[in-house]
Amino acid sequence: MLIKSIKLKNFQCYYGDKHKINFTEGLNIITGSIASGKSKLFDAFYWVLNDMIFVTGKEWVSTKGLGISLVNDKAKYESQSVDDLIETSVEMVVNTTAGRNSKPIEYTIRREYLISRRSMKDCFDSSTWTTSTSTLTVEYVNQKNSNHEIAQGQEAKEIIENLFPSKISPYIWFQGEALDKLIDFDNKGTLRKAIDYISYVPLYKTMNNIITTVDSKISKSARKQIGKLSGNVKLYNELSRQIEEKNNSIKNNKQLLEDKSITLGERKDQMEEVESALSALAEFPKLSEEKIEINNDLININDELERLDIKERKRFSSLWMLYGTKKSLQTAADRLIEFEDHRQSLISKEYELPEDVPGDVYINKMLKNELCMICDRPAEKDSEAYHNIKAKLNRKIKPEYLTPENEQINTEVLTFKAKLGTLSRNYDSIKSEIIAHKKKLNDLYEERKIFKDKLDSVNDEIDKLYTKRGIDVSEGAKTHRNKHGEYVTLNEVVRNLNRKIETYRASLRDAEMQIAKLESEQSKIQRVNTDVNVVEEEIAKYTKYLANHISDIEEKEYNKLIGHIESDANINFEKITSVNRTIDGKIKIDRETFRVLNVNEEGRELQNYNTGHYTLMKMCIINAIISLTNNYKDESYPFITDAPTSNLDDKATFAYLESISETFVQSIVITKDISEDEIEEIKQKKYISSLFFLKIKNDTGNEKMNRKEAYSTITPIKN
Amino acid sequence: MKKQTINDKLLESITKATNNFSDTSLDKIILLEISKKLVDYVIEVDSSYTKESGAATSLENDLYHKI
Repeated sequence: MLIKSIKLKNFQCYYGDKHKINFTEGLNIITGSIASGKSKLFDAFYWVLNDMIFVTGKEWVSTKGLGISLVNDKAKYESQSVDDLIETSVEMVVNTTAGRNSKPIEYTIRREYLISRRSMKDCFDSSTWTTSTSTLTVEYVNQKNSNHEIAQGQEAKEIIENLFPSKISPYIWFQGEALDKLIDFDNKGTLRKAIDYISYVPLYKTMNNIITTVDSKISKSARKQIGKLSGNVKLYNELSRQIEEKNNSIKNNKQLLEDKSITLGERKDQMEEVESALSALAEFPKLSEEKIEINNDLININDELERLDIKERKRFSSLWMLYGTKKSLQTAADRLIEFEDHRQSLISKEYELPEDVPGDVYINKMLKNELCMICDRPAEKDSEAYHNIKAKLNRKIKPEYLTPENEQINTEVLTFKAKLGTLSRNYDSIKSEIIAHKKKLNDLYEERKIFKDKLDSVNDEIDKLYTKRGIDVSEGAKTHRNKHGEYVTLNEVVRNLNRKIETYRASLRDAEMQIAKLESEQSKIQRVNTDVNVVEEEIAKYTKYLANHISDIEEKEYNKLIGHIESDANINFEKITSVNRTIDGKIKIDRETFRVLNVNEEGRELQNYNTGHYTLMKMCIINAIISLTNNYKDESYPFITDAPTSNLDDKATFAYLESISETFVQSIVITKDISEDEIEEIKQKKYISSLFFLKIKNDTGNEKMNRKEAYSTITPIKN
Repeated sequence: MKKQTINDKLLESITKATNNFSDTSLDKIILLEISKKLVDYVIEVDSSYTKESGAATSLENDLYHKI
């Protein structure tokens, strides 16, 4: 099959309807610098067939998800009034090659997408436009009646599936970035499916089924005829009946085995899909849990802060207030001391007797001794002298402030002063308690800040993930949970199916052994007439022989094909690696796991290969599969790839391009790895059939490219 | 050179296998014809596997008449 042309109208950066590329057989290269419209061109190929495109960070996005972004910006900007209609379309013409019983057919595949203006608001805002679903049509001339046919909807999809079978299309449509997503060689089924598609393995299976059916019918008929000639017809027929019974059971069990094997295959495919979905969603539950955990921690911290800040503050408020009175109370205590001093000074002053008067104690002593101790004369009791001395007693009247009421007040003041003393000693512990409380609060605020920062960074990651994948974190986590449940169920289903399949296999082996035993018993029964030739018996020899050999051929063919893929891949790999000294080793496909390995001459796996290296190995296998499809199925597919060589250096890039020019009848390579000044040189290379150059321009002469006026152009350099 | 079709390749592999066939008094050419017939039926059913049993019945008839 060949892609004859592609025509774009208002598709992404391609404005208007003047963009058409006519492709030739051989290697077609489309080159251009960054943002010149290369990937959009690849998108056009993919979109016209599949109604979706690969968006970096979002993976596969459907037309519905793309909306007005699919439509050229300049076309949207030039729209003048409400109800304006803009048509976006891609039209691809493919030619099939003549087959065994068919002539070549030309198919015109066209996908169209219309948007109409709803309001005169911002033309780049999606709410300004009414969108619709895309429509697909395939036009061709019917070979049977020469009628011009237009297929739509499901019919059109079926034609596309026929032209580009989904089992092989991942190998035909290949975007550098999406390589791992498209072809996961770690998935055991990937290579197996491709092998089934390009080889005759399924055909051998059909052949086997036919010959087995024929064999059982012929053998049954042969037994019937031989039975008639048997010496013991009754026993022979009874054995035949038993053989037939076993054959029926084998047939049933084979059918069941096949059904279960198909179901097992489907479930395994589902499981692989679920597994890859799980690994793609792995970040969601991680981030979601992390977010929940941090939020819980924050709630706990906030609770603790609230407790300290509000509840404990009440307790602390009295302490705070008390602590606040420290200065006033200290002043009060000082004043009290001053007061005490003053009072003492007054008391001392009042009690100061004149110098000639002895104190009461001395006077009482004189009275007791009846002697004036000043003049040393006797003063007998009740004498004049005695009374004179006695009159000196209690000579001072107590001052007013020493009245009992004032003394009571004084006592109270003293108690108060003592209490102030106690209080001032407690101030220190209040202070340390307050400091500890403040520290605790600060620590918690600090901790809360750390957790808030953590939450911010988790939210950042969540936002990034949303931008990348367009899925909300909780939705992603929920999907992950559901998928995990699906995985567990599927795992159980697969285990049960495997058990059942093993049981059927055992019954089959058992039935086959019993048939062999019954047949041997039958062969012991002598025939009455040995001259009669039973034709069915002769045919049965062929059918049995063919049935066995076809099984062998199937097995051999399968192994041979893997060998072919491996050796073809290695031929390309060697060509490319011979110009790149950093890559060595050989490609090996593990026959058990279908993993693609890089091994040394002794077949031991090399450990030091990098992503570029691994990508190259994968690309060589893709090339091998496509080129073998051409050889095996007599069908050639065009190879269309965007940025296949971004991981390779210049030399390896050209070696790779040359190798694919030899591998494919037609290949279309979109690449940025050829700069504008290399074009003239590249043009001369014989292995390049066509060369196109993409450039972004505008009609206004502005140097700066603006989305309202800029658009991509396609210039044929060699065609 | 004409490109080998599926039919050719299948027949080729069966021919190779039948070279070892000695367990019958019947002509090897007949066996090859049967094989060819078988391959043709397989190609016929390739587009739709549901035709298998019909193809098997026709093949059985052919086999019967060949001998």
